[in-house]
Amino acid sequence: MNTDETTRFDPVSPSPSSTWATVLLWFAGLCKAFGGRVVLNFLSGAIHRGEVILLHGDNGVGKTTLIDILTGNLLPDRGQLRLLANGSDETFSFPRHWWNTLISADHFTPERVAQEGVGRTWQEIRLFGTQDIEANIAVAKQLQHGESPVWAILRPGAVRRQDRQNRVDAGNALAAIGLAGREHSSADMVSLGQSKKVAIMRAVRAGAKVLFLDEPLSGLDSDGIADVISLLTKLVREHKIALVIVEHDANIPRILDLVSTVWTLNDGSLTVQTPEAVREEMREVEPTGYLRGISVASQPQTMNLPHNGVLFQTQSETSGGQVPPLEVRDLVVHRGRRLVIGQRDPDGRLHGMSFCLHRGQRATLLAPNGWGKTTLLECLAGLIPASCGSILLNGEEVQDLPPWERARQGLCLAQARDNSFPQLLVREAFRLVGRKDYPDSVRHLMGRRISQLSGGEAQIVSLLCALNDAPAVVLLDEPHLALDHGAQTELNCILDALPGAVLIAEPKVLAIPQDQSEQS
Amino acid sequence: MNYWFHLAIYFTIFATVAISLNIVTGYCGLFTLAHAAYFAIGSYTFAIASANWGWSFLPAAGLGVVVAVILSLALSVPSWRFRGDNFLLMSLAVQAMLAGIFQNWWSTGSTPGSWTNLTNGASGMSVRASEVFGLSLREPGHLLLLGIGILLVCAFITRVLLSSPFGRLLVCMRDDELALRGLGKNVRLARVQALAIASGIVALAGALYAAYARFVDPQVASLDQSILMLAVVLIGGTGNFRGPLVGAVCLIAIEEGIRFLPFIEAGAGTTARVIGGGDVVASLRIMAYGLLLVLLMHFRPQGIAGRYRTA
Repeated sequence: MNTDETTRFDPVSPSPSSTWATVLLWFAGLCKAFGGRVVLNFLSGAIHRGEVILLHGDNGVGKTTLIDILTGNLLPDRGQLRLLANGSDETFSFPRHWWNTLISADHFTPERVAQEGVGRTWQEIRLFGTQDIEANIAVAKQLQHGESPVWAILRPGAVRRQDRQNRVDAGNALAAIGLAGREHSSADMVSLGQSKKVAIMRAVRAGAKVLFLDEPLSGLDSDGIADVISLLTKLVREHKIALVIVEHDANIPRILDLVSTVWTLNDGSLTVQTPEAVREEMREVEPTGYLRGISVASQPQTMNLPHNGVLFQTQSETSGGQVPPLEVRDLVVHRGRRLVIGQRDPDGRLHGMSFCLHRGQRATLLAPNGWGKTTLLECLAGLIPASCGSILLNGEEVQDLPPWERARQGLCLAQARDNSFPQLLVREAFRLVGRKDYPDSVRHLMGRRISQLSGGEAQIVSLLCALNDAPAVVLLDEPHLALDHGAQTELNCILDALPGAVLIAEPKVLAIPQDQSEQS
Repeated sequence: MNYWFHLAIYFTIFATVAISLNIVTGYCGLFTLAHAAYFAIGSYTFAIASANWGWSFLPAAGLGVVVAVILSLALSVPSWRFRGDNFLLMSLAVQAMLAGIFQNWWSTGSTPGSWTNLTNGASGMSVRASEVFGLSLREPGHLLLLGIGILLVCAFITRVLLSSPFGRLLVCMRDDELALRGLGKNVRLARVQALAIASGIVALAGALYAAYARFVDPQVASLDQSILMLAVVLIGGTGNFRGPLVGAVCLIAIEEGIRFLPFIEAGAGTTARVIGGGDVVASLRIMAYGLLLVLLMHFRPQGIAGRYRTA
């Protein structure tokens, strides 16, 4: 980090009095340790109206811990938090005293903090899946009479009128984010990008003046990223909402134009940087390099797929006589009634997907969100049945075999999420898969439970478990998700050393042209 | 008593129970094993108020509702941060505690319903024939009318509640409690309210049962009964209005189907013992429900009339 451009927050007097008018959230002396490991060490800072802060740091430095504390989801060990977003001035001091638990207005809880105008979104989005997206927005409105059962029974007319207006407003909010006409789409049926926009709008509808966004761009394709950035820009410019964004390295260059301040968390302390300084750092590490390693270098074979998908494969180094570890012939996969993998021609005939991976070959499947990348990988691994077609593993048909049989024959799938056993210690997880050697970077995690790891740490541990036995075919669904640059490099080294075939599925994201990033 | 009147009254009682449990299980996503205990609170309170003070049905049942609503705090307050297995265990503890009270709050030599012999222990209490609006509840027709009235009122109130923002709040709480709290919603209060409403409604059904069976004993608060109530809701389907009604119909179909099996002795499982019991019918009923639950979990996990959605 360039120390000239770095300023340490003053923990005692964090903000000059002249700027208090614009302060929405202020914290000082925040400390948090987990089992003796200090994560946050006397952090102080302030968030001002209309400010856009990028919270930046390596995997496991405590970004999510800080967000959890500032949004009431986690109690700090000590420190002070002052909430001014809603015009009132609420101060919480830590550690809490026993009498704080007696008065509900004094509770430090997510709902209490949200009522003071501090909202958040999660990495895993967390929409209410059984509700339509209009209801997802409508439920967020504060002070709804109908949320009291007494009102709902005694004044049903008034409740209905207010709720009707609330639904109209929710519909307008959806129209503002380009989802007019989709009001009654179920929340678990809309695309990832649309879900993220609904989650952001839901938090705004709940009255958030300060909005914490945990990886709002992760997993999105180019269109999704553009949509979300456009929405965030609008919130800042038109509604003066302050944003605190946590994003992993690959997406940071895409939001730097929007960012006014960068907070860098390292070794438990917070430093402030300018976006320009971070842009310089990002240029050095080239965050999209992991994709270029496969898709651009080594003269890849390119296979264009339906609906803007593309499969990049490195040149095969094996002779033509060898049986490929993975061969897919005319594969067709449905999710329910929806055709996901395969295509119908104008005559109504169904054409499946075919490709072949040789030993040592690397392939990257780049496709937009909703294309069916995860479906394809899960079908190859046996988690979803194929409608028709063949899957050959080392020359033998396996499409009728259960997943564990395919795994025994050397096929390994690492899913993007829910890919680990959260209650196991890292040591136990490695023992479970029989892994004896592990990189130094995870040695300090051995005694910790996987559920206590950061997103990036958990991802690298689960990948190390999955890739233990040097499988013949490795299928990775967005493996770089949540990994910082160091972890990505480490993963790429592990992948390079694998003798088998590797297929990586990633969202299709256009690279940022170098000249454009330089101009901005 | 006319057989069809018996079936119809039985249906109104169990449909009311299922509607109330659907609030907790279907809308809040909480599995409770204490529901039969709140049903028994309604039964016992009605029995005591009508026997000791000569109250007619509505005030005696109303008192049962009030007592059940207050005692619902015994479940909702200690468990307000729990979901899933932990909530289930809390409800089991409350069920055991209340069933223990019904079983053990008695002494010899005292009148049943008195302060020292409140429940008359395992011997149970007979219930005085009650009346409502001057109509004697000895008449099956009057009982049926009362049962239909209670069912319609409870269904209407539940419908109004669950189609209001309160219902939306409960469903969102079931989907993701933390996300809802992050929107500034007091989900713990909503849960306390939902459990109080469900306990009040099931206590009303319990009072109707006591007026119908004219007898109440600790078996009505047993764990078997709670499991049976849960099974009715799960088999019918949760999270909508058809499910509880379908579940109640299934309960009656199974119960009556078993009664006509050739190896069941005549008179086993008489109408006065449709709830509680310990006879062959009750055992077979539990087995039939278990089998049906296993089949449904495999082939239609959303229940017979649950929400069905293709991918």
